[in-house]
Amino acid sequence: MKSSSSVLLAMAAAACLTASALAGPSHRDIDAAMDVHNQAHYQVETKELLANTQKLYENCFEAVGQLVGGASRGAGDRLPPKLVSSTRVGLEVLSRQATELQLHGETAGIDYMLRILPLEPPFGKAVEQFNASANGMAQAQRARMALQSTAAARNVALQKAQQLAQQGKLQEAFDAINKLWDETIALTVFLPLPEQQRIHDTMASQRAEIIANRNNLARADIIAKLETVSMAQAPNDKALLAELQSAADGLRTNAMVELGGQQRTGPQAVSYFLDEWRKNQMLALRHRGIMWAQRVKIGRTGASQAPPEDESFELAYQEFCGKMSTGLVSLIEAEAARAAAAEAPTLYRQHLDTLAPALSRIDDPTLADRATAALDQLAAKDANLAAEVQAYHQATDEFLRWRERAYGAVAAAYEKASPAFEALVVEQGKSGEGFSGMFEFKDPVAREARLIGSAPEILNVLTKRVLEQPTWIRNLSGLPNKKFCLARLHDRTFATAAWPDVTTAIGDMKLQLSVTEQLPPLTLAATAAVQSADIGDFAAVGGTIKGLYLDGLVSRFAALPDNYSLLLPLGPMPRELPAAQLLNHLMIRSDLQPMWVHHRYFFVDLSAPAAPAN
Amino acid sequence: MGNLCVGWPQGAGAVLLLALLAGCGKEDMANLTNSVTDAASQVKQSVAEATTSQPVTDATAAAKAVLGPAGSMDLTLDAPLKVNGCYVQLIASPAGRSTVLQLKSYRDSEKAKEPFPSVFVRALVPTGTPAELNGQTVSADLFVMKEKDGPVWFTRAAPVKLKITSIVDKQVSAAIESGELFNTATLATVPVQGTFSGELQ
Repeated sequence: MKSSSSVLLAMAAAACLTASALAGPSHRDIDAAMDVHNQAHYQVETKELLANTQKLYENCFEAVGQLVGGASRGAGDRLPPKLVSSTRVGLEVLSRQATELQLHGETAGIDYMLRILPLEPPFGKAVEQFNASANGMAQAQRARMALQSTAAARNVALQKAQQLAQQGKLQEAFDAINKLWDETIALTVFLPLPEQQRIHDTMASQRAEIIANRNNLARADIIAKLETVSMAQAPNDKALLAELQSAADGLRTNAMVELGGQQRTGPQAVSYFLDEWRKNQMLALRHRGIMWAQRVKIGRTGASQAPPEDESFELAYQEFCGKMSTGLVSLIEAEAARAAAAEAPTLYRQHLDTLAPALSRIDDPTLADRATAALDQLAAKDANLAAEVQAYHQATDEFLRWRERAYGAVAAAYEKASPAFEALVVEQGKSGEGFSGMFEFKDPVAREARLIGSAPEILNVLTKRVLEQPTWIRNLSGLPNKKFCLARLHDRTFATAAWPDVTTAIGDMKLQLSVTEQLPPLTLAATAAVQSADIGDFAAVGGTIKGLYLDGLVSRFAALPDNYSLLLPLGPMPRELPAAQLLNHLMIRSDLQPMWVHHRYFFVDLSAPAAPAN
Repeated sequence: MGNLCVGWPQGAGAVLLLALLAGCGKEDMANLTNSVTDAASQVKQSVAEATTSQPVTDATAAAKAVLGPAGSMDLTLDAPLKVNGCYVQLIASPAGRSTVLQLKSYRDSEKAKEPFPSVFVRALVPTGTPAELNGQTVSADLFVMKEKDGPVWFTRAAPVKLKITSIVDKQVSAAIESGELFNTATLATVPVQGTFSGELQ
């Protein structure tokens, strides 16, 4: 039984990270439509296509339920023929729209294909029962007569569709052949399979050719549109690096430099470039997502139009991140080269305050040491400051190192008590008897979650297996609302956790570091220790799972919302499989109610009656 | 930083004494003599290198590093633990922050290759002078790691009471009056006892 507070918490977390009206399939609504990136449209806007498809899916689901219910009550002969034929056509249109969504590079398209699969056998069985009944046989007779009387018209319609295709009017041909097909199967559904097959065969090859040509055309158009979007959103790495170099040069001789139309001090310049790097990374992540949407494999459709696989973008971005990290330190070095003794104390503290909270959000293990060396150069400009900083290093460096070591060991012991969230997802998400999940049953190194079953099928099982289960998540960043922390993407999983109350632990750490409002910490490590805790950046959080959400990897990244900016640290992008394979790949998010919190320098057991506060 | 006589390498002397006690043969003695000579030359070379390129304090540190541990710690956790090395620092802040008393089982220069067992003690103390600390009992955080990558024993819930029993000519002695350590492997606490004897750096 969920408590009302945990439900509210999960809803709030969902609202917090859901940019669009379509929240995607979750523990609360396993049948909801998967969200779309909506970056390229063909004929109709993708969101509209998705909404129509979802409605159709719901109708088909309900209709199949009615038919199966009727048949199972032994009333197969009383099934409404109209419902039988409209469901047959509905499933056909659903399949077509699922393909259409795939052509847009949307994971939702794969999901609908998979949602259709479990509907087909029970529908087929219900139809079989109806067709074997007296009513069914009478209906079959009426269908034969109708098919005979419209045979000539069907022939004309088929020829017309072919002519349109020959004239290059592929969309019109596509619409015409689909109309013909839908009208035909609405009748053939009442006939025995061999008889259906004979009629279908009269148009099969022409239909297949028209669909293939039209889909290739649609896919090419969508790939081109995605290219336009991608180019419009491409990050400008070179310009940002040039601006950074120019700022570093400027700070060697001037206390202020112009950036973004404003005069800024050295610490303000660091802050500016941290913001710009984050914006640039969001563009880069979206750009890569759109590149994936262009390159995903959709059967044999559009293969020739897809741009080739290319890792150069990721490699260039990795190089850019290295230069940004070096460049940030060069701003402090430039200040150290220029600053007079009188400026040094203020600049030193401002640089600490600016850089410290960013340290836990940048994926560069060398940055802290390099920045500390630059800051020491700056402190050396003033003998009193240098002595003060040196004493503070001696008084706190080893203490922090031992705290990190000790609380890391405490956390490791707590982590052993439950599986990490990504491990839990693999353990409970593997396909098995009667369950098509997210990983192959026999895959020993399963990491990349994907739709093997549909989203509702996965969530139906997964929610029962993992909701309220204990787990832990790592690398959390506090969200600006100060209500939730976001655990970074790790092996396709990420999470939100309610912001834990660690006020006592922070207070104790400040006391041990001799930090007060008047006496701020004097080293980068100590400043980062305090500030990272203040902004909700934790190494790990353990707790119980209160919510589950599924997202398509490609669809999510191709339109990454701004409130996902902390999903990854500033730094190289995680390596991925070749884009061609990614259309059915998933991201799984959970909401966690924290039970314990591991900060780099403290650990708090929130379930303990009197939590140790150090 | 205290002065140190570097004429005779104490570490090498200890090796020689142990060898004699063990009753080793001529050949072994020759090897040992060579190693004593090597150690002595290393000290000389270290000091020579340090004095030509580094400040005197670094030269002293380099010499100390070759000489082996000074001071010791005797602890009882789940079992008695003898730790070679006890280096005491009293760090006064010029800016009105608390003075920090630290006892480490290793030198700063050894951090990169930390010897184990490794022990770290830290207390915020109200004074900046050693004389005033003499006889005082302070609250201290204590961390112990018997082996690399092993569990950590530490003052998770409350600090230990550490009495500074004497400070004479930079020689500091201290003893734990009471306290418990949390073991990160068992998640249980054990009472801790211990004495410390080391030189104020």
